Amino acid sequence: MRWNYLAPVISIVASLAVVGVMLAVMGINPLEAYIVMFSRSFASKFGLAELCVKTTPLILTGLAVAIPLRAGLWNIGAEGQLYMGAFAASVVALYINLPEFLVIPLMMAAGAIFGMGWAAIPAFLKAKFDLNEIISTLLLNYVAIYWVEYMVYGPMRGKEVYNFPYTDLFPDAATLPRFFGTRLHLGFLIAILIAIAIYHILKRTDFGFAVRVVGANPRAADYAGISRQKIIFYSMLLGGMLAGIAGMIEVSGIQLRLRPAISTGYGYAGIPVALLASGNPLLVILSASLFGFLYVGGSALQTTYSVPVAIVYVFQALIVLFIIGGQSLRRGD
Amino acid sequence: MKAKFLVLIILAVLAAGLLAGCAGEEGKQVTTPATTPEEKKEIKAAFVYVSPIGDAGWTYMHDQGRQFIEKKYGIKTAYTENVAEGGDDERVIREYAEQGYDVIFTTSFGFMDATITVAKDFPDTIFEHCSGYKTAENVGTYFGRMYQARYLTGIVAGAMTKTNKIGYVAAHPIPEVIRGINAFALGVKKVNPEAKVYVVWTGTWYDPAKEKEAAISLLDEGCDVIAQHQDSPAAQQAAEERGAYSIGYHSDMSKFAPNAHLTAAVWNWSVIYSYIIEQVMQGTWKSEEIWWGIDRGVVGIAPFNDAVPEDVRKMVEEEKEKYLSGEVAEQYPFVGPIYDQQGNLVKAEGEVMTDEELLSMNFFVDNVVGEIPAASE
Amino acid sequence: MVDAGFIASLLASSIRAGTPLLYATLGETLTERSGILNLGIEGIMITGAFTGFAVSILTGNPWLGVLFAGFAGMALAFIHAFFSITLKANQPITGLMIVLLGLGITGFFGRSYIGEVAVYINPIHIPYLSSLPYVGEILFTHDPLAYIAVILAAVLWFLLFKTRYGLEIIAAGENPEAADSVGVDVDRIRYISTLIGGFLVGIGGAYLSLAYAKLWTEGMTAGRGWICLALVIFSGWMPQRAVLGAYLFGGLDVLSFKLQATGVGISYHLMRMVPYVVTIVVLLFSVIRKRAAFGAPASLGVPYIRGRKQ
Repeated sequence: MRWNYLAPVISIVASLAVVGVMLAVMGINPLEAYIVMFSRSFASKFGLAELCVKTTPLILTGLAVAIPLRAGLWNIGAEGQLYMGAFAASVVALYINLPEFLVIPLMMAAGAIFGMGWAAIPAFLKAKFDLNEIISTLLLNYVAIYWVEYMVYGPMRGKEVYNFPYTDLFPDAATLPRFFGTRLHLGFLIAILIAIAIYHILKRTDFGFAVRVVGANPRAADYAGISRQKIIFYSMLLGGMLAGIAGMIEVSGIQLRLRPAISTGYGYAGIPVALLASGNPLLVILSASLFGFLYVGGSALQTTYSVPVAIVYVFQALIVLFIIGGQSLRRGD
Repeated sequence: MKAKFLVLIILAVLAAGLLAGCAGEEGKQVTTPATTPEEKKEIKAAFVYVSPIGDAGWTYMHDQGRQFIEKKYGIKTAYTENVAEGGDDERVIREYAEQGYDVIFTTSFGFMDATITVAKDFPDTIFEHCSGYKTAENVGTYFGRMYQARYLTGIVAGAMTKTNKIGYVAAHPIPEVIRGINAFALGVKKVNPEAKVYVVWTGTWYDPAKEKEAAISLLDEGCDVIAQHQDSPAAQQAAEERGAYSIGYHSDMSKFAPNAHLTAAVWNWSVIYSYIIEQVMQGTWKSEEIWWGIDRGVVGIAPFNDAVPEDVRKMVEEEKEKYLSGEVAEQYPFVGPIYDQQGNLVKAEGEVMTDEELLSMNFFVDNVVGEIPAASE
Repeated sequence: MVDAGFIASLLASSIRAGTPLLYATLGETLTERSGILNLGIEGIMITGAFTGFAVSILTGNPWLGVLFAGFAGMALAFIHAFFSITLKANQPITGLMIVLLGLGITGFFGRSYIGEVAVYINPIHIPYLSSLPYVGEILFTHDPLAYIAVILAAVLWFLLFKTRYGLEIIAAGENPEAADSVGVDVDRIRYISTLIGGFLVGIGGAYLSLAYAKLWTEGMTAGRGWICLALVIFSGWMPQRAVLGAYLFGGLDVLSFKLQATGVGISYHLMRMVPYVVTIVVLLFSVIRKRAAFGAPASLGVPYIRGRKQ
């Protein structure tokens, strides 16, 4: 029993120690480096805002992975769904004339629908043909990313961008409000609210019950008369929808335009986020902020010590490996 | 159980964060005292790169410039590489500003908006943005007129081709790349009106295997000189292996293709970095739009291969001399008559293209074979 | 423009471009056949590319480079195996972390090798055969590693489908309980398959830096690892089909370049989607025809815990 509490502590300490040795080898005082990482993320208004900015898409992609995972499905495609959501939202922002108060809601709806639609392809293939979803979602990521690239180099290229592959800046009505003079935007709040809503949906609705049963015990689902196909289909759709919203929020809150590389791998990072949170939507908020911290703190390491970005990759990989290793050890007992 | 586990982690992180936060605040007071005049001389420069230094091309060359000024002026420099445009750039630039760096170089077009935004909040910090067009009181821009060197290398290619087909392996259709292709093609045309420049887009800045394959495709179609706008020298190797010629880019790539490599259009960022750092050190810095050419040495051409005959060298030297003596405009060779691929007259005889037209160039001149993805109107 | 010469050079290029993919696909096929899903190919490949290049410089022998690239791939694969098999940790995540590790380690140590020139593996023109019209260019002008890849595919096919050992690997991937009950050491089989798989993926990386684009730059695998994941599926976990798949996928890129070089206007952006769309379509056809899960090992990605029903 005591092991349950010791394991996470040991895994964190161990990862800090290993990375500390690496830093020390490079001539950097590890303790000082850790202080830099923390203080840059927590101790200033901007640091904290940036932490939230990075956490926002991770909450949504984390949920996008977590919900299907509850039904026993792997959604490796949040990255592509995010791109499709961003694409749809950008089309609304740039090409559709609407009363101002309608722009943001409609962008969000468009992002949600396109994210959902992109997830519907693997969901359908899984439900109908039992096609492995890890593979189909992964493949569709590339199609989505190249699609956005094609659009911004071609049809959607802006008029005021000196022919660079960007769309024009969105009109003000299409950008999410920001707060405190930082980049902290409304999307952060939206993401948190969505996570809470999903928590209640999974916990209290028939759909949520069905998802949990299908994921935990497919046979029991059959006995209970729950259609597995349907649940698989809808849980994937719900995941895609959230990833699509993440894309919308990223272009509307941060990028303010569409461009080829809008995500720094948020869709993939959603996988460890979801797993760390054991698929619990409220815990996703916490694990997403842990990853947000790894991004912001890692970047602070770079700006402070000019360590190669490569070190930051190793650092992130080791921490996640230690954490899941620790989790596994615990589970094994 | 897992829930508890995670909560534990988060609590640990938060607690450590708060502790560190306090420590950090104290630390800050120590490190940022009121700047006294003596201290102001010790300047610190930060560089924000779009790709890893290991790309062997764009960022690598900027980093060479950084190392140069670090040595020459003994100043402290810092860098962050692989910074995502539009997403992470603003945070990184702001962190450098907060850390009290005196001058911050942002070396990609996509960093433009973030540079301007942060600059508003730090009026005492100097920002220098590479390749953009937005300036402010404390934001200058800098770039090199690479097309001048491209033009000169085009003359070499045009003179050396026997098949009258010259291949050009290019990354993405953005103005900088298109401008380089056109200048190169105008150089080709100057000495060899029959020759055409065949462009293949790879869709990637650094994927050496693909760049090489794209070059091979061009060689297979009968091209006998290969030029490139890519980071790695892979296209040079392809020419070397096939016994063709090649024109390098970024740096002297002759090491990779000793027989094929005729010359290269090269960057030397240390010229601009030295200039800016000196201005900052002397306190005479003001916001400028620096767009220097071959006369200042920001761009240049690598030493010729032995295979380049004397008359070709002479021709290139003569054209180069026109820039040095000021006989031609900086925008040369973008001086009319210039025709596009459809044969339309873009610039009439004697008319000079403006810098803005150069910066947003989006058409191919008439001796280029290839396509630019069209924006919808 | 499109004549026999065009097609011959297209096919020759396809083999070149497909060979690194083939090594990695064969490696991953073996790994996945035993039930381990290793998403870390990209990281293992780049590690192989760097190690091969560095060892070639240090020793002056490119073949030692290839060997050590394999060992480096094996080392990373061991991390994956340890987490997946011994710790029974989540395989997709471990794989993704392997990617980060590979990119990180090579980025860090690789910086000082930028712009260096190593000793490379060069094509050999097989006497007489290589001067055959068209066929000579397509088949007999490659480097030794390209031929070895095809032989490896045959060996792997034989191993998987014609030997007892292969049966055990497949059993470990399909139904580990059943395999265990007849005395197969599932963990051991999975360890060995993952390690050898990593070895082959590493060689695929070395092919890039030592035989194809003969240089080292950071991130030079440029997403090939992910393409190989698609290729494994595309080939239905069959080594023999992986050969065709790898050449086809390699060839699609080449086709885009060749068409552009002849002045045919195509969107290279859309061309780049083709491999992925094709894979999905192929998958679709096969599932519709068979009406059953398509070839995937039934226990792929599922940790095997002895004495516990899945």
